[in-house]
This record gives sequence, C-alpha cells and structure tokens, in this order.
Amino acid sequence: MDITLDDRLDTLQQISQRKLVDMLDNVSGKKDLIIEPKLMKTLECFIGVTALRRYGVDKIFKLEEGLKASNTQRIFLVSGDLIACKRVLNQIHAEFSQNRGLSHHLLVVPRIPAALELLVEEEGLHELVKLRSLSWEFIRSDGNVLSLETRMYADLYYHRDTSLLPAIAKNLWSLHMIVGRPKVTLCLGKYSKIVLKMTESMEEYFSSQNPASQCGCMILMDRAHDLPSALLTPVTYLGLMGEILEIKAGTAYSKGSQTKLNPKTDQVYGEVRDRHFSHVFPYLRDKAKLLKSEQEATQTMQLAEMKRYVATRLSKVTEAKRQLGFHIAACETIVGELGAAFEALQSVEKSILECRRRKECLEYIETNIDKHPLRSLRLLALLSVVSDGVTQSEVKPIQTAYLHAHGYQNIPMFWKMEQAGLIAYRTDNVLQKLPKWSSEWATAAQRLKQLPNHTKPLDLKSPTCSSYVFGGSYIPTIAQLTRFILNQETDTKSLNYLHSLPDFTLTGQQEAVQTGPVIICIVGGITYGEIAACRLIEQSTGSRFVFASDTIFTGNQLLESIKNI
Amino acid sequence: MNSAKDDEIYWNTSDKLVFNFEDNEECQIFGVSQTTAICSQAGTFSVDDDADDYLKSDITPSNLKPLLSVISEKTLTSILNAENLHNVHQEKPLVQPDITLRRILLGQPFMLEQYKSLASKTELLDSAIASGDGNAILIVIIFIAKTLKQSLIQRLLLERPEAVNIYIRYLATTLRTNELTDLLTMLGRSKDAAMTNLQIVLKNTPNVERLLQKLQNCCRMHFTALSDCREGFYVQNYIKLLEWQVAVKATEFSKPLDIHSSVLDCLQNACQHHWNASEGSLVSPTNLSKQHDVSPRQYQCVALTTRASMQAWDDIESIVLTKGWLGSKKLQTSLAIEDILQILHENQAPSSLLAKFLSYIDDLDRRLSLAKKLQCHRAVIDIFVLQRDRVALSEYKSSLHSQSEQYFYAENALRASTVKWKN
Repeated sequence: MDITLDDRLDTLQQISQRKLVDMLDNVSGKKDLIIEPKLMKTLECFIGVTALRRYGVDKIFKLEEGLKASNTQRIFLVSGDLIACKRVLNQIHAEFSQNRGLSHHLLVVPRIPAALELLVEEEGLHELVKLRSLSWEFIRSDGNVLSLETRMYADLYYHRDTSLLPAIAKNLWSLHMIVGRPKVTLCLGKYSKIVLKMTESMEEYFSSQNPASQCGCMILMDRAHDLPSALLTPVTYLGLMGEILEIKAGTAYSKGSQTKLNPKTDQVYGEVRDRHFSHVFPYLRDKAKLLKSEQEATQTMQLAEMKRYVATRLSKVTEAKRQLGFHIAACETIVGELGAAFEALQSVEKSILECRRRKECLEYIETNIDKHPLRSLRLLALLSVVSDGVTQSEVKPIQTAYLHAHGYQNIPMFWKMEQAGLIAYRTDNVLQKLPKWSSEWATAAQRLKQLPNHTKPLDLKSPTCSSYVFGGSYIPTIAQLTRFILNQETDTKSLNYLHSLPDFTLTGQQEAVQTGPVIICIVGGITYGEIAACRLIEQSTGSRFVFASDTIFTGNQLLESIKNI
Repeated sequence: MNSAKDDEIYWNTSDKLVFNFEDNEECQIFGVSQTTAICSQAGTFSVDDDADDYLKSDITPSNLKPLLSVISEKTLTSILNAENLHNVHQEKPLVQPDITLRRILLGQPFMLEQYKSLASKTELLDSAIASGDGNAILIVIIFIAKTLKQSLIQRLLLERPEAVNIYIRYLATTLRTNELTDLLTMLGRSKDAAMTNLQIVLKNTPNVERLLQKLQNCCRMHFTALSDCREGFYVQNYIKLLEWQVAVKATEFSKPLDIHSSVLDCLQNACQHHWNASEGSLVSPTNLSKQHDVSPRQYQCVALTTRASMQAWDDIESIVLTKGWLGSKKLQTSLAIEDILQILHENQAPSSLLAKFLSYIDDLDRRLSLAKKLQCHRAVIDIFVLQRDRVALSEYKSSLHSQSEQYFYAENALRASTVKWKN
C-alpha cells in the first residue's frame, strides 16, 4: 500500500496524543487536569475527552481564579509563560495550606523555561511539584499547514529571546523523521540558521536510525526578512477571513457558528480558499443555486429514488449546505467590516510600496487611528520598512493621536514597535524627496523581482503571478525563494544577489529537488498571503508543499502581540 | 564604583594576610627562610612597616625541640594529609561547554557547578550564545549571577548584548527593577531603562493613586534626564490627566471614569457634563483639549458626536463653523463633511440641519448623492431645483409618500414660476 504525504502528516496528531497520554500514564490513578485557557483549542486538535478519561483524567478544569479541583493528583498543563506559571504555583501554595496530601504535576508546553525551575526552587516547591515538559508535534490545519500555535515574533524580535527556537527545531526534526530528511536546504536569516543547527544536532543525537528517506527540500526564512508580507492586507478569501474572523487551530468562527477549514471535507472551501476575494461571491452564488435545484428535484422523486437519495446523498448535501451557509455569511461579514474602506486601504498600501504620495499616506494613517488603531499602526510600520524609516516629525502627530484616542497606558507602544523592528527613525534627507530616489528596501526587493511591473492588468480570476495575493503589487520573499529552489527562477543576477546576502546558505544538490515534498518554514510566523502565494507555485509545478511555522498570523495579530507585551 | 574597588582591595588583602600567616609556619617547619616568604608577599602588596614588625615578633623561639622528635612522621603525615584533602579539587575540573549545552538543548540533566574559574564561566556563556538557545543563555547567566560578584558580571555582560537582552527580560518579568535599572544604566541605555521601568509601572498598577505616585517617581528618576524623549512628555500629560480625573471625581456624582480612560474619553465626559463651563475652568472641554494639545480633528469629532448624541443641535454650528468676515458663516473643520453628516444622521439630526450642512458641499452631484443616501428629501428637492431638472424632480416626488411634508415641498417646487426648467 502506498503511503502518501497526507498519511505521513496524519501521524503528527497521533504522535502528539501519544506524548500526552504517556505523561498521563506516568501519574497512575485518578487525576484532575487543569489547563491554561489558551492551550485548550490546540489540545482539542489531537485529543478528546474520551481519550483523556481512558487515561485516568477525572475532571478537566480551565486554569482560572477560584477553581476547585477534587482529586488529590492534579496535573497543570501550562505554556512556558513565567507569569502564568507563577499563578499556578500560587494556587498550589494555597492548596497545600489546606490539604497536605496532594500531589502536583506541572506539565509545561513546549519546554520548561530556565527561570521556572528557579522559581519553583525559590517558592520552596522543589520536589513537591513535579516539573515535566511536553512538546507536542506541529498542529496540522488546512491540509498542509503546520503550526506550533505559539506566537514567537515578540519573543524573537522584541525581547530578542531565542528560548523557543529549540521547540521549532525539535518539531522540524520529527517532521524530517516522518516525511524524510531534505536533500537540499535553503536558509535565510540568523534565527533560521540557529534552528537549522539545532535540528542537525538533534538528528545527530536522537536519530538512532536514518529517517524515512532523504527527499525533497526545506526552505527556512526569518520573519524579519519579509515584513511587508506580514503587514500588507492579503486579498484572497482565506486572507481576508483571517483579517476579519477569528481563526484558531484551523477552525474559523463567525457569529456563533464555526467550521473546520479543511479542503478535504469542505469542497467549496477548497475551491474558494485562494481565490481573489472579488471572485468568491459569484462562485458561492452559483453553488447555492445548484444545491437549491438539487433540493427541488427531490420533490418530484419517486419513493424508491427518494430512499436511495436519503441513504446516499442527503447527509452530504446537508453538510454542504451548512458549509456553504458559513462561507456566504463569512463573505457578508468581511464586506460589512471592510467594504467601504477596502479600496482606500488598497490604494494606500500600493502608494506606500511605490513610495508615492507620502503625505496622503501619513494623513490616512492619522485619521484612521481613532477607529482602526491596528490597521493604522500596521500601515505606519509598512511605510517605515519600505522607505527605510520615518522621521520623528512624521510620527509625532500619529503617536499623539493614538495616545489621545486609546489611552496613555499605551505610551510604550511606539518604543516597543521600534524595538521590534517595526519602526525605524531616520533624519529628514533632501535626497529622499527626489523623484528618482529609491529606498534600500526597494532596491533589494527589485533585485529579487518582488515588485512586478505589470504591463497589462493582472488576471485576478486565474492568476499566474504570486503577487495577486497583494493585489498585484508585491511578491512575498518566501515565494521567490521557493521559485528559486525549484529552479523556476533562473536569472543569474537574482541568484548572485541571494548568494551575496550575509545570512544566506544553500546546502545540497539542487537537481535533486524535483521529487519529494518542499518544507517551507518561516521563523516568527507565516501569513495567509504567503501561503496562498506559494500555493500558486505548488499548483504550477506539481510539487507538494508543507508549510511550517510557529504560528499563522495576520498583521493585526502581529501588532497586537507587540501591544500586549 | 569606588566602593566596589575598595571592597576588592579589602578582600584581596585580608585573604593574603591569612594565607601568608599560615604559610609562614609551614615554611619554617621545612626550614625555608622566612624572608623569602615575606618577599613573595611583598610582590602582591606594599610591605607595611607594622605588618613587618608583627611578623618579626612572631618569630618562633629557638628553644623548640625538632618536630619529629616529638611526634612520629606518621602522625605528621596524617595531619598534613588531612589538610591536603581540602585542596584536592584544586586540579582543573572537567569542563566541556559543548557537552553541557547539548544536554541543556536536549533536555538532559546537567551540572554547572564545575564551572568555577572565570575563564570557564566566560567560555560557557560564549558557547551558550553561540548555540543560540535562549533558555541555555539564561541558565548560564543566572548561574553566573549567583557565583560572580557584580562588577565581574557587568563586565561580562557589557560585551555580550545577546545575553543582556535575555537577562533583562528575566529581570523585568520577575520585577527586579533595581537590578534592571542598574544594568541598563551601566550599559548606557538610559532610554531603555526609562521605558522598561515605565512599562513595569503601567502593567502592574491597578490603582489610580498609586499609579499617579509611581508615574511621578518614574518621571523624576528616569525621564527628566532624557531631554529629547517624547515619551517623557506624554508621561507628564498622563499625570495631568489622572489629576484631572481625580479632581473631576471629587466634584461630581456622575459615573466615575475608568483608570484607563483616554483623553478622548475624558473629553467626551467634559463635553457631556461641562459643555457650558467657562473656558478657564478645570473641567471645561476646551481647557482639557488645550492641556493635551488635542488635534482639531479629534476635538471636533468628539464634541460633535457627544453634542449630537444629546440632541443639542444648537451647539453643532459652534463646533464646526466660524464667522467669516462679512458675518457669513463658514465651514472650518478638519473633519470631512461626509463624516460630519454621517454623525448628524446617525443621531437623527433634524433634516433642516442636515440640509444646511449639505449646502456646504459645492459639488452638486456629490451633494445630491449624499443627500439621497442620508434621505434628506428637502435637500434633494432643492438640488433638483438648482439644477432646473424638472423630470428628475417629478420622478423623485413620485417616490415620496403622498400627503407627506416632503411631498408637498416637492409639489410646491414644481409649481414655482421663478424656475426656468431645462426639461
């Protein structure tokens, strides 16, 4: 029997379950499981209540104030966030003061931070609380997208703290064990380099045997190497859905209803997922008509025919109807939220990329900051990245307006954005006002051919250029790297430029790439725009891609994570 | 810094004294000349006359019997061996940073105790940084911080920004603000010190009075020295705003403002409850607005929305209109006219007011489409009259409820003899 890539990716979920279940098994007898709320959704992806019960979990609690566990054995499942852990330790102290005979286990995802061991010791809980780490495998969603469901951008670029990189490395290592070790590896960025090195040393010490086989290739890139892809608004259906609706661990939530985003079980979704948003609604409408006529046909059915229909088609049709209903409602929500503002937003983004109409762009940012703070800050960051910085006098009115509208408790926000590489300050320079001036960023982007110069309007219905995900104005770096490794890009100038970058490495024989999966990993978070841009290449080359990252996020979520530091 | 140096000298000196004192006896036993011993000390610190005397006075009297005639050699060896036992681990312990770091990375047990020498600690830290594992870096720094004195830790960190960043995060999370501030100041990163302290204050102070006090402290300690830091100016404004909130709370019984209320929230409160307060008074909207240098756009938006929501239509004009110099009223606003109309419309402004503001739009087509969108019938009818478009007007009339006020208004307009219809 042939084992497909899908089968292999399916094992991830089972391995994660085994890892957790083994931990539970270590604590024999009945126990309560207390889970940090933000881990709930991720946990649901690979284990259910029945399985937990089978391994002795009696009651399941959300970690919150005033929880009352009843079993003497308590397992706390927490992320490595030190403050959350401190809360757990406080809780444990309180429980100890009431009842001495308890046994506590702290299961930390994905690694035990150094400071936690120290904290446990300082709190006098060493040996009383058993610390274990649990690093589950990548969470799979949307077919071929793998994520740790942990946002690392702020850690890596604001705190400059690389404590979580081993978690990515470990998951990549086990992915290699499952789908095969890449023959060719392309690596761009200092964090990617660290991850690669870690993966290699795990390979050396953990792999008792060679992984499944050697095949395909891997691309690793740092988020910082392409910030515009995280800041621009993607215009595919999934891209905009991510902007407006809540998507968590592959499930989308919209006004009380929810649906699993999986092209295998939801054909309509698979069909519209990567379409330009303007071509989604017509498709859904046709689909709805089709379903309706099918339903009408049932009214004239004979009894026998009806019986067969109920047995074979009905449940499928009902499910399809529900899914279609969700997507139509999602479209309506997106139009309702963005509708009027969408065109203006697109044109501002385009102007920023082209380094035109700077004054108008700044005005747009300022006037929108009261009602759409994240959107505005995102544009400001885009402006800063694309034009090698902004001046103090440009930022001041925006910052003032932001603080007036959203509270002085946000005073550190702009400084935090600066620390996180989202705002850079430069002095005013007359040269930059010249019409021929081009920013360093733009020069680099042109060398990688990321700023397409369309001679005719882009065909958004059946696009051929990855830039369609950003309305035709920008091709994500990761898409260009993918084209490069698949030998789709043969322009020597671009290749030489890539090789000249200080943190670029390429190992292995590129001819060997053609077979086997392409693992595409961005350290610091991948976006829906980038995934769609690469999927276009996947289709045109017939390769199989696997996307991997610490998280799938949007520009707003990126800024929010900086705000919440 | 000076006192640290003094400490150093103190420790070094006293160490030496103790050791040399004991050395002397041993030396003497083995018949080594005591002057050599003293000379070897002299290399480390200037020979103090008193110390010299002290050591001289300590010279063993000559009437002692030879040591080995009193105790057996075996006894002596036992005693000396017992002494040497303490010193066995003076030989270099086995340190292999690469292996230690691999164990940390792979989650295996590890020991750091053997990293005793400064050189091995330094090597371990550098290897941790090279490995790129932030967790390992923090483990090593915490170990170093426990086992080295302050000045040496700082010297190590000074050249290793990667380590500093991770350590700073740890200090901030565990609220060790003093250590954090010292470290950042030592590194010359005073703006970072100020911002990190501010960040900690803002995150951890839920009470207004405490917050006010802490912000004042923070401002004095960190921001006064940073002359061109915009954030310092905002912190001062934050203090003013909190003081304003406290003062307002003392004077009224209305719903108290939340601690996180923004300037615009407070402004809205002022527009609602103190619209007519004299301009100089603390609670007046204009005063608050001036104090924080609120932009005209934001001020007008808040004032307009608040007054409109209270149906205080008479106040609207004063917010966005000024008197021109022939007594005519002119629109002077930083808001787009569409936004003004939208706000008025959302609050069910009377159509006469809407019509009035519509008339400030010079472009008739734009005015017409807005008037239609806002269902401001009078304005629509007036525009058709201005355009002398009888056909459009008749059509529009037929879309209105017959016998309604607008219907008659349209009928009258159609009947008017003064208009020269174009169709």
